Amino acid sequence: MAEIVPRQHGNGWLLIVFWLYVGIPLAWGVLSTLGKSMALFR
Amino acid sequence: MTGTFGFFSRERIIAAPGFNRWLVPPAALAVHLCIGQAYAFSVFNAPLTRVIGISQSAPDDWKLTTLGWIFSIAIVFLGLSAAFAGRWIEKVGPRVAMFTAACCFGGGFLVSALGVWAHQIWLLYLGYGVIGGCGLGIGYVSPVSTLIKWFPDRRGMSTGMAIMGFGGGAMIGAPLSVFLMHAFQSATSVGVAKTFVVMGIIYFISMCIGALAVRLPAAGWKPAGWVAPATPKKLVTSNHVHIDQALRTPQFWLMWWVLCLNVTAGIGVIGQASVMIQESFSGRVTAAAAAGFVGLMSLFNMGGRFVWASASDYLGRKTTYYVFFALGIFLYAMVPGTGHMGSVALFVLCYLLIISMYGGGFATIPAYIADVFGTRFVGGIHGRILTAWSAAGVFGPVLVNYLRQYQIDHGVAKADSYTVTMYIMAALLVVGFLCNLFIRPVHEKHHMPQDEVTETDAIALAGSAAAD
Repeated sequence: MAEIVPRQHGNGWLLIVFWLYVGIPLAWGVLSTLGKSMALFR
Repeated sequence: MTGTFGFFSRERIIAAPGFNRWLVPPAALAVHLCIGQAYAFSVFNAPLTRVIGISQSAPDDWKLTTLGWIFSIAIVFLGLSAAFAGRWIEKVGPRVAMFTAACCFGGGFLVSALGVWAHQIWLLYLGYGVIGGCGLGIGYVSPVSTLIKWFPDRRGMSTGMAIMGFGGGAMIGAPLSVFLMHAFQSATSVGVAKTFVVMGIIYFISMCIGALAVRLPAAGWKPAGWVAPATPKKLVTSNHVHIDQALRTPQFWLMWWVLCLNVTAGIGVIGQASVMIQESFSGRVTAAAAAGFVGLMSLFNMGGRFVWASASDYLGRKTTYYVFFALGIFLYAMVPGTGHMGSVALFVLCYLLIISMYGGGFATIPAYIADVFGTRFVGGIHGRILTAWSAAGVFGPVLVNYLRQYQIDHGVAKADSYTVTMYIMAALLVVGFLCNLFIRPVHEKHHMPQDEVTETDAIALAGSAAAD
């Protein structure tokens, strides 16, 4: 089969926005859990 | 559905040239971060015991034992839907599957909200348990084969990212649930029904965003500059095994037991971790510290999914599972010793490594399946192998609880009752190690002929094209 090599253009802002869309809630959840985890070290 | 909604057809989501494949993992995460909420469902248990009494349980309020079945039913239907819908998911493509998962998971919350408002437990069993459980199973499996198609060079890393999201979903779901219940509670309501409505809507929207964003690579697509290895590893096939044929191979059942035993051992100890650390270090570890320990474990569960699955791209899948079992045997056997030594730090370290490998076992299995059975039916085969998770979810806690009670009934001190349990879990991992050892390349008699592979692809695309 012919190799199709995609040109990487035009996706920059969408990439950033989409990763922020999933990354921010995930980071919030991780930080929230990390905060509670600190009780182990007190 | 594809006949009525051409927008959802596979053909409509073939990526255009120039599409960046790094847009696909967040589409998968948009789904997994939602369905991962299932692991945080227990935050609703206490408020649900006070729906009538509000400040305390009234005589007609639901008991915890009644409510515990909601999560159990959801996990059973997760396994069943993943197993039975696997073939359908491969046929209709990821957009239909992810949208269906969104409808089921979001809709399950709405039905459950009705159940809380009407105080009818069967509506929660039906809503979150059955319908939501189907959303869990379909949502869990649906992005996997797509990610493997986009990342043939990094199968472990790509699926690890998605399945890491399932672990992370609980970390978002728990504080979100608490926040919403607090916002909606009043003198006459614990706030659960409205929380279910809001969460159902949020999760439905988020999963739909993932469904809209997902794309399939065009036939013959490869990552820029990537060439398949000239001499691939022995266990990495370039052939494909049909989903029904896979059940007739010894490799499927060996892999089933690999997953089941790794998960059984992990689930067995996760459930007792908080109690075990408090009883093993009585007077030194408080209930609050134990809760912090549980939180730390969930972080390592999540991190292990990404780290171990990514590492498997370099170590190989079989070697990665060797590490899980061999290191696991050592760690499980060591844990009781850390209690006798009085070392909280070593106890915690052993547990965190164990839990990271528990998560890693889930996240690495799709890439292992793709290596052994090929990529054509990886999603469907993955769905069927996930029945091992359902079995472990029942077998693990039952075994641990039975063992613990048996010892206590025969005079063993509580702090020591975990020791035999940990040794038995280590023995299960020995069996798992042997199962992994016996996994060999699938015999060529099970491979699909090339014309059959082409035909199944054409049928799938024709079904989608008919919608237009």
